[in-house]
Amino acid sequence: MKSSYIAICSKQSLPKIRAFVESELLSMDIQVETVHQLVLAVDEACANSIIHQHSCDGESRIHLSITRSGKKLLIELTDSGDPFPISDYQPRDLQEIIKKRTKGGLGIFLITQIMDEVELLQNDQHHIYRFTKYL
Amino acid sequence: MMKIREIGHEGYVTVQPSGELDANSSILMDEKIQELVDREVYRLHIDCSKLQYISSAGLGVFISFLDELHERGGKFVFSNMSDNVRKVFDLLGLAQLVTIVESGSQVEEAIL
Repeated sequence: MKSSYIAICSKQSLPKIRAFVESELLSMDIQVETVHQLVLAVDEACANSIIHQHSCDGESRIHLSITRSGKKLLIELTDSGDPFPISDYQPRDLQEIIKKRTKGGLGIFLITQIMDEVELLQNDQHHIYRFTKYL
Repeated sequence: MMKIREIGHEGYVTVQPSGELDANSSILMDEKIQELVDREVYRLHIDCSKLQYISSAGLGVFISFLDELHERGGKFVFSNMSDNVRKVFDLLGLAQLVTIVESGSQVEEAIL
């Protein structure tokens, strides 16, 4: 089963992306609790891409695809912005974030908590964040 | 679109967000908390009964004020969390660092 979605690089796209992901995952017979976490992980990845890689440029697009093969769920975010080296991400210390009074830095951590595998694949034209969850 | 309701009490203020607190709407929560801190309100009850979703951007707002509230003798108390919202606090390890109560009736004891 595979489905895909193209989103405008605007923060206003995020609720629509979440609605798409939730609806598709529920139709793939995935448990509701797992669906909620996966929606969060995809929301974090898309927000990161839209805000940091595309500076909310409404002319840019990101492409999302969801594929289920048996117990393996593959979510891919294809993007043409500057890639974030997500596979090399080192978790930040929450106490340090609190002390510095910063608002960001936790989205990628949440993705790594929720997904079983996180990879960055690149070619000449675009790169793909590949998230795998074993159901 | 998320809406934020403010309810004043003796010694603290309840902030009740309705809807989804994500990267798009978190600026509204940030402005509301900043406005309360500017008014020297440091004891804040966040009533999550109408909060349907929270992402790291939403949590980041609360995290960014934790130190300042603590420094000024205040705190956040969160109540009425849905399982989905509570799960995000747990995933980030934030549930151990803030006060979370089951219902609104427990807030006064926890916040004052």
